[in-house]
Amino acid sequence: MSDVPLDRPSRFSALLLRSSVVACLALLLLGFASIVWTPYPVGSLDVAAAMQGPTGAHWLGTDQLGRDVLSLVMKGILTSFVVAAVATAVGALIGLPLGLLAARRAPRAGLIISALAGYFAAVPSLVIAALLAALFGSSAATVMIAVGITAIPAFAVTMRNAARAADRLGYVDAARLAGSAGWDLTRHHTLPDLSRRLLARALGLMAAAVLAEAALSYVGLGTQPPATSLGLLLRDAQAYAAFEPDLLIMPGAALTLIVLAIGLAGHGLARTVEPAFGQEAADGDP
Amino acid sequence: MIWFVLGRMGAFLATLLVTMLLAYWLSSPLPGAHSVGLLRWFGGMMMGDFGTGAGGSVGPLLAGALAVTVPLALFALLIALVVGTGLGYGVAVVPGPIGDRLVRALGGLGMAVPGFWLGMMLVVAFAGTLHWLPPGGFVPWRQDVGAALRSLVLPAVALAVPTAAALALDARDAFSRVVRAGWFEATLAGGATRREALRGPALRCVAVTLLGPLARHFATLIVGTVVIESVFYLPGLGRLLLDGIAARDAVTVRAAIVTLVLLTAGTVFLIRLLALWLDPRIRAGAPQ
Repeated sequence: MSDVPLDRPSRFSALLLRSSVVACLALLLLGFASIVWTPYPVGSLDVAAAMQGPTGAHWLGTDQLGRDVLSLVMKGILTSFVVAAVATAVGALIGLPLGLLAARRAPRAGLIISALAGYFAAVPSLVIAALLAALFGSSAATVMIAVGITAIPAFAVTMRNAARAADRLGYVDAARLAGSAGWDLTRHHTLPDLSRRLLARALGLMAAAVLAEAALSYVGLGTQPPATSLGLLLRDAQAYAAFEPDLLIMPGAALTLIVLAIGLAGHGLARTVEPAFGQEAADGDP
Repeated sequence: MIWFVLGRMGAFLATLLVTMLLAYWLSSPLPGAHSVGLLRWFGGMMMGDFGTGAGGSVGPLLAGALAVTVPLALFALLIALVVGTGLGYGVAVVPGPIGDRLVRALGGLGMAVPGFWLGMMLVVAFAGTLHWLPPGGFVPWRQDVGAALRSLVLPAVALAVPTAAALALDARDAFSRVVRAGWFEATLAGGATRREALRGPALRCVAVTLLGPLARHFATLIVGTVVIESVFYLPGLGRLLLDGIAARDAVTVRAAIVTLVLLTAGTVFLIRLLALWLDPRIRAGAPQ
């Protein structure tokens, strides 16, 4: 792939990366603020004030039970981030060591990675979530496990290919000659170089996990009431969409914004290390 | 070549088998799950007998659900394939940064918008405001084919958009790699126009690269029908699966999961088999 000329990262893409990181942080702040403060308590019903448009008291209006939409969306954003982060962490905790093992110690582990990649190419996370939900009942944990498991091969393939490529670099040879080996070599010389690439991959998978959480919660396989999720908000809003279509806009827009912000941050980060992104890990090729 | 086919077929059967075992094992603590042993369940499904669930015999229910889900998925696959690869091809035919940036922006946005939310917004726009299409529900094929097709238009579009976006980005990458390759420049230097050079070997080369992403995106799309059917109240496989889970009905859940994975794994298998036709290296038996 080295024969492909690379796009120069332009000033525009640098700006895009910076603004998407800022958007991510702003959304994170909004979500985590909801732990200590929301404009109105999420559990408080006020049927007299139901289905209002945006007013001075309720900036984004109220839903069918008179709950404040801004407060609900803030809580929903928190759920999106937390569930997606845990799911991605599950995938990384299993996938990254597996990839490193395949690159360094046991090439046979590559067979496990190929088998997992082949399996999850045909069996998306919703199928796993459905099986888990049938057995244990639906919860946010169902989503975390199902989405996390399906992310394992993606992490493993990225790690393996990146570690193999890094081992061919001159400075790693130099470090070897200087006596560094094993975990010491990995920790001090390989991982710092790969961290950006791995973080970019993790952000890409996390964006997909946010979408998966919302979709699974929407069909009833994820977060359950009284907890709040953007998918659940959309489910409620859909029931009243014929009278009050405005209720659909905020949760969906928030969801799109989160996915865009995380996805663009990951994409921009990847372009700073390898401008033609997404090829090496695209298909889990062995 | 025979090994290639056998390998792909093995992967397909292994996927199916692992899913069947998972589905059987994970649903075995549910009530009603012990009425049938593993081998008899396998054998029954081979003969088309899926058992009897809470809603009656599952076989006819599955057939009814597939009559909705399969046309919906095919419809959406067609839209995604035409739009996605079309955009990628467009970028390659008309060189320049504007089209490229436009496709990348559209692709990024299309991948970020949740399909089920898009579906709801489409209902508000095209059913609620404009009254062009039905907001949901399904008219059976036997009653009125035209009305049945009309009730699948919006769901198919909502289902196709994220896939088309992902495919457009992949196609754009694949085409731009080909366009930058030395042999492509040589073809142009030999006097071919850009359009001529893009047909033939270039298209074949892109198609081979796209098979992997295509298989993955199509599997995701097929499973996505479960979510989209909920948005549009379609009585498809997704409805059957979700109702089965809500009722904790092991027989229905197993049958629906296995059918769903049969569809996805079968699609992945067929797409990968296309490599046989597209890639002469495999026909010649070259090691991969």
